[in-house]
Amino acid sequence: MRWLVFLFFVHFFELPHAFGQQVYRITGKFSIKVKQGETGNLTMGQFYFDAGTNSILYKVRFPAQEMWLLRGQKMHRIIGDSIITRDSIMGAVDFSLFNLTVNNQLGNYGLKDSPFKITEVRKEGDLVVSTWSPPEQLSKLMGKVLISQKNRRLHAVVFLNPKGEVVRKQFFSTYQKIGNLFFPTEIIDLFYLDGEIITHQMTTYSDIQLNATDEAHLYNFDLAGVGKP
Amino acid sequence: MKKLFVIVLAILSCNAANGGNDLFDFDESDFRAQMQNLNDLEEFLMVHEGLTYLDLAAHHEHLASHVMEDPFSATSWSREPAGIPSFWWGCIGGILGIIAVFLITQDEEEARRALWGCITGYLVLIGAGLTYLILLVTLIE
Repeated sequence: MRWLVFLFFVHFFELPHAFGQQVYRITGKFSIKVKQGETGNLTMGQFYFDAGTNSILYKVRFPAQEMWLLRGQKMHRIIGDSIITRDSIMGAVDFSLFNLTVNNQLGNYGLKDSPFKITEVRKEGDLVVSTWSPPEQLSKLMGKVLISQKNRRLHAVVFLNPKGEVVRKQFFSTYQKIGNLFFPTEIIDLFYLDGEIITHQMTTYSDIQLNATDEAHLYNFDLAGVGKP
Repeated sequence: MKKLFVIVLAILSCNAANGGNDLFDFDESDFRAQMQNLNDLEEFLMVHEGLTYLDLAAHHEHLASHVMEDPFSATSWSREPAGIPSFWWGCIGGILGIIAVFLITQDEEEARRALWGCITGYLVLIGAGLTYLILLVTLIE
């Protein structure tokens, strides 16, 4: 079982790095559109990322007014005055766009300080493609991850399974310069099964602000004040 | 500061096929077409802020028909380590399975499920052992 512990534990972010660019809060509007077969889903609202507390609060306004608080490895779904569910979601904050951007890790998708090792770098047209391989002891479980950069910014991430088959593609585009950060405001996600796309997903961000001081309580949301159902 | 690294869940959660040489390509026009109804709905909601799904279903049924009420219905977020129910982690992995579940999820409820799995696993093992002994004794007699 030691490999299992090794699988999930890595030296990842050092806290001081979170403040390297003096950005500790990000807020803005978000929308997530998901199409899975004939099933559609749209979620819209405002997000509040706080590097100090390692949390993201999604204040959802559609399909219904509710909040999702991601703090550490937990997600709390809050409707009205009640916490409806508490789920463990691995790396939800650490691998979020916000955390990777603030920590200047977006270019390598956070893999630089992970067990993955860079095994190849090549140029394909206007893309610089790096191949990241899992450690040998995990190679039967996990495939390679390919990252492409365009103009030194993250362009796409392709996840392969151990057979070398694509399981997921992510495309990052429409970068906006906000303060000192370049932030992708459109992310396209494609999930594959047996060579076919089974899920189309698009996430967009707008009206992004850094280090906003209003609505401070939403960045450091007090869960103790929320009752249980 | 150590952090849990779990991108693997996203990788392990799907099985799929290779796209060949066009790894960094996709059919953008097809993608936009897939999103058309959702884009129309999004634009409508940007103008009509404050509307919920229930409002939409009541007054704009044609728009509501493109989406589901539960925002989690189409997401694949999972609390189960590697997609395997915690009960089975405990049942098959025993004590180490419980530890693994707790380390991975940091969730006492999941660890508790693993504990029940562990207990069940040992009970099944003990039951099988007793059955084997009873059969053995019966055969010897």
